[in-house]
Amino acid sequence: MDHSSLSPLLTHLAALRRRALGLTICSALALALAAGLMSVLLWVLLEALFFFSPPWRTGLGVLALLATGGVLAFALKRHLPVLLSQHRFALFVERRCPPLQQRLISALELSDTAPSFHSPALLAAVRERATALLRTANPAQILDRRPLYAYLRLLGGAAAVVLLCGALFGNDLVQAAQRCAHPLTAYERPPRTLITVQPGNLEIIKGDDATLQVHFAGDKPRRARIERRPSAEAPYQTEELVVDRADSVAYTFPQVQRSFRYAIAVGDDRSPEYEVRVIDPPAVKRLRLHYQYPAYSQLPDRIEEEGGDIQGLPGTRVALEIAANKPLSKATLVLDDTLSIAAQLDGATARVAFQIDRPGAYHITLVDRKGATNRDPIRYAIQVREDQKPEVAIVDPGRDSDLPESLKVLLKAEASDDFSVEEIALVYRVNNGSEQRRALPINPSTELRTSASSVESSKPQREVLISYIWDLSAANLLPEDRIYYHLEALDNNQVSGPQKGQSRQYVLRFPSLYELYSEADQAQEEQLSSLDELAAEGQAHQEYIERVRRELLKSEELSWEQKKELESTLAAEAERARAVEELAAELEKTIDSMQDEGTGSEELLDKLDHIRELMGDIATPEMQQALADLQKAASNPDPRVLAEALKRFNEDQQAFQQRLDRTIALLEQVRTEQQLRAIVEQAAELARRQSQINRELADGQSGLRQQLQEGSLQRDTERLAEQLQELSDSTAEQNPALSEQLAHRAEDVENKALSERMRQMVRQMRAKSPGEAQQTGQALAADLDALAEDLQQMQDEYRAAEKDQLSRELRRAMRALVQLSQRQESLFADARAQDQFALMQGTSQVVERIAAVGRRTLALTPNLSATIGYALREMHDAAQRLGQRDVQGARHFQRKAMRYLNETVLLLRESLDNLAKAQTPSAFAEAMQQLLSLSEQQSQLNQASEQAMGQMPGPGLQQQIARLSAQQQGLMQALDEIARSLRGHRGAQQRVQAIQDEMRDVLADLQRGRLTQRTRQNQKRIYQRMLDASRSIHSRGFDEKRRSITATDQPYAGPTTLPADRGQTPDLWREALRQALAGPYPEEYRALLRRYYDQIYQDLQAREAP
Amino acid sequence: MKIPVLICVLGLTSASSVEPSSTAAATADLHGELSRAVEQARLLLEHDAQAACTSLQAVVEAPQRGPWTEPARLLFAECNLRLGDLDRADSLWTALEKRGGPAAYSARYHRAELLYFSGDFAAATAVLAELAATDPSHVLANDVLALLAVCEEYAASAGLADISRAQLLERQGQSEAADAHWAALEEGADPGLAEWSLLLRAELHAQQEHLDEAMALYQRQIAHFPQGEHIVAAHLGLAALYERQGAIEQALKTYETALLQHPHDARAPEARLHIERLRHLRESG
Repeated sequence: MDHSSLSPLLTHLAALRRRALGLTICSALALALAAGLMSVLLWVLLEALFFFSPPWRTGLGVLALLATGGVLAFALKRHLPVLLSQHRFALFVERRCPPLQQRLISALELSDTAPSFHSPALLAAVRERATALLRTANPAQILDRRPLYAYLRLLGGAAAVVLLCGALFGNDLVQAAQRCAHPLTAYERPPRTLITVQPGNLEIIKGDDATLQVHFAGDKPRRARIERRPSAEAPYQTEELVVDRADSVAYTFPQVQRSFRYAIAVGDDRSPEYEVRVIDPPAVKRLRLHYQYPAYSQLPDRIEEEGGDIQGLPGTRVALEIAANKPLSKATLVLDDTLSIAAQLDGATARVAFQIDRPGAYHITLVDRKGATNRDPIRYAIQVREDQKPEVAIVDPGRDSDLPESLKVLLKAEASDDFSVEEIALVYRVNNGSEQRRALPINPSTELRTSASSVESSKPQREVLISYIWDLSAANLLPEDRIYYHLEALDNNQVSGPQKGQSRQYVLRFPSLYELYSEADQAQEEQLSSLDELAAEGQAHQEYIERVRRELLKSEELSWEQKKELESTLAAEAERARAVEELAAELEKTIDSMQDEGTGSEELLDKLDHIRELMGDIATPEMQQALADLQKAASNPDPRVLAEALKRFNEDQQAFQQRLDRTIALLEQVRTEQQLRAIVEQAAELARRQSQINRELADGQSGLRQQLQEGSLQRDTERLAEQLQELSDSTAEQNPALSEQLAHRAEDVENKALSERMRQMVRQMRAKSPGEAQQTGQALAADLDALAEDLQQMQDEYRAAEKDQLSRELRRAMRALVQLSQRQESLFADARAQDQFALMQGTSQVVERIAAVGRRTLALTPNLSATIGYALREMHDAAQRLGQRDVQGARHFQRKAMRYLNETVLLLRESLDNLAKAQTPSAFAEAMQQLLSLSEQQSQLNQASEQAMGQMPGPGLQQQIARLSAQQQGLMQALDEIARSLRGHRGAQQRVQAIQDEMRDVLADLQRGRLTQRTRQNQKRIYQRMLDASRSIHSRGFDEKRRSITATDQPYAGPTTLPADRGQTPDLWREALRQALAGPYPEEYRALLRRYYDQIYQDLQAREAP
Repeated sequence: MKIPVLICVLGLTSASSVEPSSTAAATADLHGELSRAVEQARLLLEHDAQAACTSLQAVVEAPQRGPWTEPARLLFAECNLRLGDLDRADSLWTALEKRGGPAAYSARYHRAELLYFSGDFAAATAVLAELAATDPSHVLANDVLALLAVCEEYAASAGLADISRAQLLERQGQSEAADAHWAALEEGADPGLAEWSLLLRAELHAQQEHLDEAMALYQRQIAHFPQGEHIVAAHLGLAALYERQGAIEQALKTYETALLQHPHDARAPEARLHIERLRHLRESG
């Protein structure tokens, strides 16, 4: 057989069969896979659903496999036989390829058969045809791919189902799949509810809330339990959690302070046990503040470890060292919740620094290495202690005051600052002028004295006491000018600039004489008025008490109302006594004021001082005792005791009243004298001022200043005329002669038309007619001089007349008392009660007379009234004894009465002596002149002592000391003389006595041959006291320097602009004095200089006076 | 110038201060005689100074000393003054003053009087001032003060010499010689002294019972010095003279005048007393 022709056919057929086989296998596999997928899916689903036990799970698995294998086998069994057999395959092909028409099978079958049974050719042809047909046949037509595709789609579907289930029941299916993957493994059946806790274990900051999210899967429970325990060993504490079938709930452990463990349980499920671990937050353990104060404060650095509040000055740098409880990753200082300043870290320590400028607050934020921040950081205050303004107070004068005559004001002030007073300035203005500023150096080397506490400028001067002599002599002040001044103190604040403190503003007044006298007069008037009221009140009380006494004697009982009224009256009496004492104190102030202002002569001041003492003595201790006794007796049931007490008190009260009356009368008297003096002084002042203006006119000055001065003069002249008339009116009753004289002078002023002529002079000056003005001025000056002289003479005459009259009165009283004494003596032998009584009455008459004198003069010795009172008492007792016919007993009292009468005469004599020695102005002035002269001698002696101190010890020095001693002795004697001549001038006398005391010490030293530093100091003091005494006494009449500035403000309708020199003439002498005083001279020499220039002024005025 | 009174007082004082001797009655008798002699001299002095002087000399020079001695010496000095032996009087008083004791004050006063009489008023003033301050209770203290007041008040007046001279002469009983001085005073002295001189004269005359002269002087004083310092004294003196003469109405009127014109005078109560007394006298008939 020829197989060669068959071979292609076979080849083709084999190829086709392989392809068919492949297709078949693929199809079978696809089908099997699809079936397997579905089986497995089913298995897993079942497992997921029923959670089979391993046998069941394995069985089902096997079933699934079998099913898959069965499908595969089925698919293969159906097609593989065809494919495995060539013939069957050939038949298959022929069925699919009809053109073959059995040619293929035939070829195949015939080939295997013997040739005999077939034609080879035919066979060959068939072969060929079959081959050709095969070749041309479409394989796709033979091999049906559709089942493959169908199976593949089925597989895809199965896969889709799997995916769908996976998607739907992923977790369950995965778990089930897992279990199915291990079918033999026994799995515990999962709970019905699955609990998932997130985050499970957690770490929180102590005090924070711990929040959990609990998820429930499976059966959603209504409630769950939270089991909690502090440690693994501790039992659980359970808490119910309402879930209400929610998928998840959140649960918060609030403000957890300690670590714990917990688990969530629900039904058959329980979550694993988790742990909540509590960690401490970062915190500030300690703060350390290091203050660096601004340099100006000169405060040392300070470290504070208590608290964190900051208190400091603006500009203070504060460095904070923050000690934390754990290592930090970050620390920040937050100022006012806005500005953050990062701190430098060093483990658990952070450091930050900043400068405080304003008040506020800060807190510190800490972050630990786990990122935890400090909770609720403390908010610390930043308190800025502002640099206080310096305080400055003027302690002296410390009140509105008048300029002293020297025009130098001693300013004493206290300034203080919390750090340092850097500068003190005197700020002042004259009237409404511009403010001027004068820095007062706070340096002890200058004229300003500072306390020991403020010596070096480099050291802080927290408290400064200054004493500054403010010389206003160059200010060209005019009377009635006001200087408003205060002090300003600056501190050393260099951060926000120096702070300024200001003292209270005071006023210095440059008073005119009119003002000074008016004020003194007003004060006296008020005091008099008060005393008058007290006297009237006392009179009423006295009458009332006497009435009560009489009623008591009559009715022997007082009603409750009467008792109350009596008590009230007694209280008023006590008050009255106090009021008198207060008035005495007020009078003392008036005296001081007059003394300061120079508005009282030495005599007047002495008198006022005397009156003040009298006022102080008005309420005697006896009267006070009587009052106390009476108050006590008021509650005594025995009416006789009360009546007796009333009587005693009334007697004392009568004496009180008399003393009060006397004081009032004396004050009135002094007031008249004062008013008279004021008039005299003012007239003299007017004359001087007119002369001054005249001199300036003569020097060619006819400016505004002179016009103003003349205007002021005119006004003061009118005032003087008014005062003359007023004083005339007020003295009309008391002293008609004086009143008449005053009225006459007032008329004179009127008749001479002084005021009108002064106006005319002003007009002439305005009209630039200096010649005419000068002429008018000279006439005016002459008239004013005459007026001043006239008034002075009148005053002298008045004084002399007063003194003469008082002397006569006293002598008359003396004579009368001597006669009474002689009469008393005559009654020793021949005595009758009525004679003695008449004598007593006569004595009372003299007492009245003396009392009348006492109301006009202070020359009466203090115990005069007491002595004569004793005489009266003895006479009364004598009369009583005589009435009882006890002649011997009466004689004893008579003798005593005579003795007291004689003593009264002696006291009157002394009073007369006082009166004679009282104030003689000329003698007083002379004494003062002598004192001035002595002061110069003392000055020379002091210089000599100074030189002697430089000598070497030895006989020469001793001789020198002996000479000094002799000189000092001479001065002492001269001073004794002056002291004697000043008898009656109590103030001056006291000052001179003080000098005498000092001088005695010096003399004692020198006489012992000792000349020490102490001696020198004493000598200096003597000299100073001499100058003070003479100045003080001299100043009572206003010194020349003060007089030289006369003009006052006057409304003026003249030129609208001021000349360049403001109408002021430079005072050459004053300037010269100022320059001289500026020189480096000792204080003694300065005093001499002042006197020298004062003398020049006087000489100039004397020379230029018309 | 109450010499007799003074002596009495001194005598009494001394007598009371000395214990009586108990040794012998004879001594006592002698002492009594001496005392009586002094008393007699005192009585004699106003009329016969020489006799009094003689009488006292014996006492003064007697070896016995007793309480009478100092009064005797004082009286003796006074006698010498009245007899014009001022130096003797001065030395006697000086001796007494130096001796001290109760008579020293009196002696010093008399010395001051001597100075006054001799016209040394400044010295007299000094002595009197010192004396006045020494013992105001002394019986002579008011006399001291009176004289001191005169010396001081009229020290500057020329008439003081006249008045002192006149007073001395009157004391020495030389009224005629004194008249010249009185006249000079009345005519030329300052009003105060003139008035006072009239008063003094009137009082002297009244003491000497020369009532008419005294009355005339009083009237003259009243006429010339109606506002004088001593006018009340003059009225009272005059009234007393009227009374002594029995002219009660006149006296009463004079007293009333004094009272009405000078109701506030120290002697006004005295005048009132006299008025009451005289009225009572008049009414009682």
